Amino acid sequence: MRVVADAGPLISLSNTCMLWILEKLPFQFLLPPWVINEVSLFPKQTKHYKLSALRISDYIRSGILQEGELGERGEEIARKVQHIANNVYFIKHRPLKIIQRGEAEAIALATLTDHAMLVDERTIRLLLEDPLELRNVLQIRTGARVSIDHERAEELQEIVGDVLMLRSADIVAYAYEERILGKGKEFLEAALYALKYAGCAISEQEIRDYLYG
Amino acid sequence: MIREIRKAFEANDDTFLRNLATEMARRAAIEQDRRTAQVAVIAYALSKILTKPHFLRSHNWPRYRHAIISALRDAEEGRENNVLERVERTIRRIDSEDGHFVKNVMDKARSKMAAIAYSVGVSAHVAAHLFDADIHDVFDYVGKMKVHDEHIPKIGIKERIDALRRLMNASGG
Repeated sequence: MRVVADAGPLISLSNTCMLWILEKLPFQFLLPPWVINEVSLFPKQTKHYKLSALRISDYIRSGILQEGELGERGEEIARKVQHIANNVYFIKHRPLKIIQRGEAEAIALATLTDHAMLVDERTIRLLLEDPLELRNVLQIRTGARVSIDHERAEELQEIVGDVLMLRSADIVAYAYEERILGKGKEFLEAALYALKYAGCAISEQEIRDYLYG
Repeated sequence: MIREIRKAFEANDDTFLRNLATEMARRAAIEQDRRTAQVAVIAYALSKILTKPHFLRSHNWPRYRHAIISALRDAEEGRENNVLERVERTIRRIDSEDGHFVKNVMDKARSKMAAIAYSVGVSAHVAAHLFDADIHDVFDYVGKMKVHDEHIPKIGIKERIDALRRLMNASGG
């Protein structure tokens, strides 16, 4: 099965030394061109993240992470997704720009493959899974009234369809269940928290519910 | 806004600067305004400098303090276009001469402000781009915030793994 990966989970997994799990999973991980640039090429110029970039580059070279071709259709979908997503929410009649081209590319690639996406951040996940909840988040955090263009939100749903959103924490938990992780529950708990602190959008409550619920 | 920053800096009011920076980062995210983002970064960096005694005790401090105030005044009066870059250059100079950390105050400020923009609801990439921050740093900062504990997703880990298995069966592996 093909899973499209965004930059976030690769960064989280690399920084927590769990990138190796990807190799053991029965998935083909596809990266949009923009993501490759972000996680592999650009950070090589910085001392701080060069090691992370080199690790990810190794996985790209060995084919565990592969570049996903968008093609003309993918480009067209990415353009539409970016345009619609950035015109769904409004504050004082001004559209709120919430996603970038690279994220739109990842969504487009997921719609053209097996509808599975590896993404650690909250915004994209909520946009596709629960656009009304994203509006609530925006409202609470901005303190302003946020209106939503329901037609556009539905149009986005129609273009994208059902895409399964997975986080690095979800695939590590899956690896644990499949005995790929090869460690006990205490290790899993530590791994999930490490990913959370590396930026994965997972709450403490969710980790507890999964482990002890 | 620059005037408020300058006055707070002159009064050594790091709390005001930090609160202002947070507010401006939020506004920059909403309005997608790079200049507001830049001002937020400067306000935050100045607030950090004011909390570090080693900067304030440095024999260079009076000179740099004067340079920053002078640049902020120029910005207030719109005397030149690149005045914020001038403030930024001064902050970087202070940091390289007297800083204790490898990661400089300006880059930390960019990442911190981008993380705040992310918490507002824009994507991490949009936030990183707006503040010229490194996406690695943004995730690092976001991980240290409680932003992901404020919202409990309706679909938990178990449900996602179940959905993954269903999808795997449907796609033949």
